[in-house]
Amino acid sequence: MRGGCLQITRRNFLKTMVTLSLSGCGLLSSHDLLKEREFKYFIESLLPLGQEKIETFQSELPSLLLKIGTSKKRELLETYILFRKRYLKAYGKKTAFTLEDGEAVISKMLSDNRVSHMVNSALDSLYFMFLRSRTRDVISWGRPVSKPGFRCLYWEDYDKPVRVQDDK
Amino acid sequence: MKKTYDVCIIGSGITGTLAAEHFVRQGLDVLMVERGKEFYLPDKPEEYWHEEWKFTSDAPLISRNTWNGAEKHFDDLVEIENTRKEFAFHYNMKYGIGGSGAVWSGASWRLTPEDFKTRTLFGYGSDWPFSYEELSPFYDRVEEIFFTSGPKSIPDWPWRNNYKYPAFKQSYLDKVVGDHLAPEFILTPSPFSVRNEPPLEGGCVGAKTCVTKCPANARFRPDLHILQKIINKQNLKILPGTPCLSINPDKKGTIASITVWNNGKPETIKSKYFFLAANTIENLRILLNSDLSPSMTSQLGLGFASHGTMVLSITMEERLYVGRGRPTTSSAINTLNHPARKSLNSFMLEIWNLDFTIGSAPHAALINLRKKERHWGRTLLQKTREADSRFAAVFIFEMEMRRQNRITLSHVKDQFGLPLAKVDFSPGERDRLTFRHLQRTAENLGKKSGIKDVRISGYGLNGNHPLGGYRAGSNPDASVVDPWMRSHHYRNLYILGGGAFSSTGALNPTHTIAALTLKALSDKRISF
Repeated sequence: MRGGCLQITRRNFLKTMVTLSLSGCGLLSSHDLLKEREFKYFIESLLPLGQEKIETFQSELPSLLLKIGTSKKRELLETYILFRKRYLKAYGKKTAFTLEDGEAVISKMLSDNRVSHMVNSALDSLYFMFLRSRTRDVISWGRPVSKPGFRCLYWEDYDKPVRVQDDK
Repeated sequence: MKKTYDVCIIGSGITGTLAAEHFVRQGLDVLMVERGKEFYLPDKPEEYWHEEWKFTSDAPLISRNTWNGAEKHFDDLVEIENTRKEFAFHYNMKYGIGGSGAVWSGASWRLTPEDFKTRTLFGYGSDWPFSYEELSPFYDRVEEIFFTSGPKSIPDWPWRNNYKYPAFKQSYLDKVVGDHLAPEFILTPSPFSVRNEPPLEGGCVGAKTCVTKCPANARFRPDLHILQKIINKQNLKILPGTPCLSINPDKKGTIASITVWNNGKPETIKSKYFFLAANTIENLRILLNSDLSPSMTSQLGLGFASHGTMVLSITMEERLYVGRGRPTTSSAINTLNHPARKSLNSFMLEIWNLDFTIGSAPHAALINLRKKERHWGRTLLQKTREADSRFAAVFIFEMEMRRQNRITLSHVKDQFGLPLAKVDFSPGERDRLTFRHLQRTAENLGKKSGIKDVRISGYGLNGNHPLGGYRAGSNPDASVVDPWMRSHHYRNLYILGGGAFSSTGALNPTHTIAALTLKALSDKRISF
């Protein structure tokens, strides 16, 4: 598959099919993506939460990916692949990642009519996954959910001050 | 020959079920007719979440304090005709077994003693035909039946109460906001008819779906907590999907029968006693559609009112962690009997642990900002965070019950041939002054330390609190029912609900409506 901005190499295509279509968490259980610098840049550009929280969120991604459909996963991966390609082309020679660089790449992708629909959809998936994450719980509520598996909002502690250091 | 029931109850909401239980337990033959059909809200709260929430079904339950989704379980919604746009009454009551009591917030205030004598104390409106003290034992009983949770004592609230459970803890938001609103507004835990027990033992789970359906059934519902106990009794018959069209008097000063729409045709039902328990508007529609004595008809519909509401969207300097805990836990009621009540109506401020403008709580804010405004990255997180400093507060204020504000019948009829109610309401001078005072108060709130911005995001008449229209009083020439809610003109007709109010007060009326029902049921003149 050559030519066009949605170019997916054979290696990537196989990875996509194997890791996304067959098992929801296969994508990340291989740790391939998590190890990629550009994947971290991709997530950080979309969720600039600070290093520690980004790492927590990334470690949750395998289980979160299980909960979204295959087509959504594919969109997300294809968006990432596109990001990586464009980022490497524009900023590959730079030694350090800056948020502005990552944002510039995403911004161009969003304004590119050929891919903006897919990118927007992938971003939706990412943000809705983020909503399901424990990282998000801590950020939203100041502490983790009180009883995992029990749908209750801080019954015991909803009146207490929050741990503001989590919120920096 | 057709059966004559001992008691016929029209309506199956809070008042209707209280009456049904009372008479069924006495072994009397009771018929309950209900316009709406049986409905059962889904067991899974997910089914009435916003569409967006399906994306986040693993997220904690938050943000659900609207009617959305519950609507589909009511196949025959109420319509109304307003003659004016300003302060239009957006009717929000429901048909169905349990009535609107199946879907209410649980706010369980008593009126203040002063609300019962506004004419004597402040020179406006009409005094009730009985005092707060006379109604107090019935309030006590309601609080027991409704398993109300509330504070043991409230500053400036000298009268007793009978709350079964302690008050819910005030939310973190309430505590932060309360510090900045004082001393003008002192936040107090609000009473709710919600079991304040640990979640796993059947108490509130903080799900924020109170109005539509409590997943733990911790909020009082007449269909669940009263009707279910008596539903299998042989002496109770319930006819759902049977609208009452009129009540039919005889020449002896009693009501002989009612006409209902049953199985596609009109049918008459006879009974010794009739209890009209179909809420203010529906009761008036039925009464006005009946061939009653002219002296009674001339009083019907007069003095209709509801609570005024002004919704504020308040942005604080600091984060509030909006959405932790119940949807609302606190109100400022120190303003109910303010020193200027001779010229300004009573009002209170209710604090909401959510923000109506953005969809409440950070989860919903992020969804809205992403889906509707397509924000991403830094901007998305920043705006989500800003939304977490914003919450809603609602001024609920008294409206004067002026006789020129009235309910009449529209020329438009519903599918059963019953005319719609036409609301002719315009605020009086006191109401306008109060509204302007609250506008200024809102502006001044915005100048307080720690408060970044205050905006009025909406105002109008509360569509859930229709009050007045068949006022209780001792004088048959100026009221419709006597102090026991019995019609002045027909000795076997009792008219329950908020229509009997003589003043609206500024506090949620449900407990007073229930207390009035128990007062009616205690009438010694009811005999078989």
